[in-house]
Amino acid sequence: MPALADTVQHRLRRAGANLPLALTTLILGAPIIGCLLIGLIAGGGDTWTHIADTFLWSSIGATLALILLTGLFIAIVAIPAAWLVTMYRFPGRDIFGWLLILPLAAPGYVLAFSYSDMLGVAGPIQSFIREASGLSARDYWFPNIRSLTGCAFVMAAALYPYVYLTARAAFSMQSTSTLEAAQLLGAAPRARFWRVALPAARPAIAAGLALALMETAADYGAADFLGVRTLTVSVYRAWASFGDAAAGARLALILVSLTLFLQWLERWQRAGARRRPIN
Amino acid sequence: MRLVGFIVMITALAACNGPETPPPDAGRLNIYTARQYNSDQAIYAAFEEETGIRVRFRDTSAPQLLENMKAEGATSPADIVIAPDVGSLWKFQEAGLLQPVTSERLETAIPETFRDPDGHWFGFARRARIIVYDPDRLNAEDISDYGVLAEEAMEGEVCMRSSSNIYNLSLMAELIERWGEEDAANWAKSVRKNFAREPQGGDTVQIQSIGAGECSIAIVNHYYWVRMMTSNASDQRALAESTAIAFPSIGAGTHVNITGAGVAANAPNRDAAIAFLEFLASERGQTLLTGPTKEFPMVDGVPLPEGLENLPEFIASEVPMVKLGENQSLAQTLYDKAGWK
Repeated sequence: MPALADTVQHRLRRAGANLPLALTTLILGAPIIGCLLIGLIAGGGDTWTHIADTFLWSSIGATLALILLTGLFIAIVAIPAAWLVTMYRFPGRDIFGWLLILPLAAPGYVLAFSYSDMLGVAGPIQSFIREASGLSARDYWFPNIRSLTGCAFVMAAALYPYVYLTARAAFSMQSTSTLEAAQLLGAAPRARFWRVALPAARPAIAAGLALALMETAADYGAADFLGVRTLTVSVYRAWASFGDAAAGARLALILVSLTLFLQWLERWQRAGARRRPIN
Repeated sequence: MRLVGFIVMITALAACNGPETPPPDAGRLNIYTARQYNSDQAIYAAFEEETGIRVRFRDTSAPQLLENMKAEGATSPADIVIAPDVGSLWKFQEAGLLQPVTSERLETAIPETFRDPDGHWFGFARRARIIVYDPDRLNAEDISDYGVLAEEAMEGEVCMRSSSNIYNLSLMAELIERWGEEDAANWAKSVRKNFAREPQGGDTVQIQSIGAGECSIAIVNHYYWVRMMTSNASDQRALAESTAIAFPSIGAGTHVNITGAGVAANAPNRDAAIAFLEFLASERGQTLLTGPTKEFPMVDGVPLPEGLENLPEFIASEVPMVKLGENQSLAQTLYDKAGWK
């Protein structure tokens, strides 16, 4: 009998502990539940047909391309930066160590604004080129910041610290003896990075990258400002131009699935790392 | 320590900006405004001073205010809705969020074209959607109408902002009314073909792009150009000075939109709300409303804001504002089909 009472009490206590958790989950999950309800039940109709006929696929494509390009840019910048700051001594290393984190404080939208002001056709750099050369804006090529690539550049500039931080933590926690063993066994510095340090840091990098890319997929401000028609921009248009929240919710659901996919990808990475341990 | 000093300083500053002795409490007025201009606060202050009614406001985008008010329903604190475009006002009206108002002062001050026949909303300032061009590449006499941007000769010459922008939607709504759906759709397709680059930035960016030589023709609201011409920044002035403007004069003439306002359906302070609308139509209200923004005053006899006196006389379209609202969704549909981002 006491055992039964104990169990009941234990269960009650557990339920009591779980209640706040359940509530929090409900509150945090409300937007997604709302999207599911509105999008799947009330979705469809004329606006949805119109969207499917016109900008649905191009928006999905733009979001995917933005994620891929941003991921590429981030990997190119963040991983080498983390490696250099962790493994090498050079003047100003400590300053770089924390300066490289600072962009986390600047929202993508603000960066988009400043970069496009600076690099835009009427900005100081291009104005200077025209004044110095006497050319008109059509006579020379200049990278267009208000483009998909430009937007990926801005998002990478804003979000690379996620990967920089996780990669730096992974590199600095790696046992130096592993690297020394690799060195003694004759691995060149480059091979030590590619074949030892990088594979070991891969799960951490994947986690940082997944976070950064989810934020990229969810960004509205920078994409809209730079004229890139991503899913988020289309969600807003479905709602603001057509007043159709249900169509917007459907588009948002696509975005949610994309985020889930990124999360799955990250987990799959980690599982892969467990299967192939580093000796 | 420095941080503490900073916090103390900020707190001190905040205290300075805090409400001074409030005027005798003659009531309250809650304004929902989609006109995100800081200069509008001078209007509220002047109204407070004249009437003793305390004004509070919420400013954010029109779609957001619309959703806010829908969600708040009968408990909404909003007394007044202000929007810089009739398309937005129409959406509030459609959603049943505005109430009809009769006021002799408003009806005599504001021409019929620029207000809702039932008094759901009234226009208080006019905004002309005009053509900006590069006078070195195009001749003034060739630019007589919006149709010019669709001509084959303009291939690679046109700069435009996004089609989801409400000014472009209202323009298209008017063109549908003028030319019919098919011609309006063809116009959008042809203009799209003539783009020098994909739509980007606001109206100011289009003017800058022409000034910099990226393209030679665009459609913008007149006050963006006037503000650049009267700007304190010499580089902005120089860019605007290298462009010219034209008011479309064929057919119905120049598309004119409004800054308008109406009384909220569940306004807790209806009388104060009507008093505010009447204040907007007074000379002081008109001057405060249009002076900083360079819009055209709505009421006859109010002096023009500085910088507008040199603009040419123009034929303002008389397509009823109501039509601009009704065609909003169709306008976006036609733009989307044309591939105009």
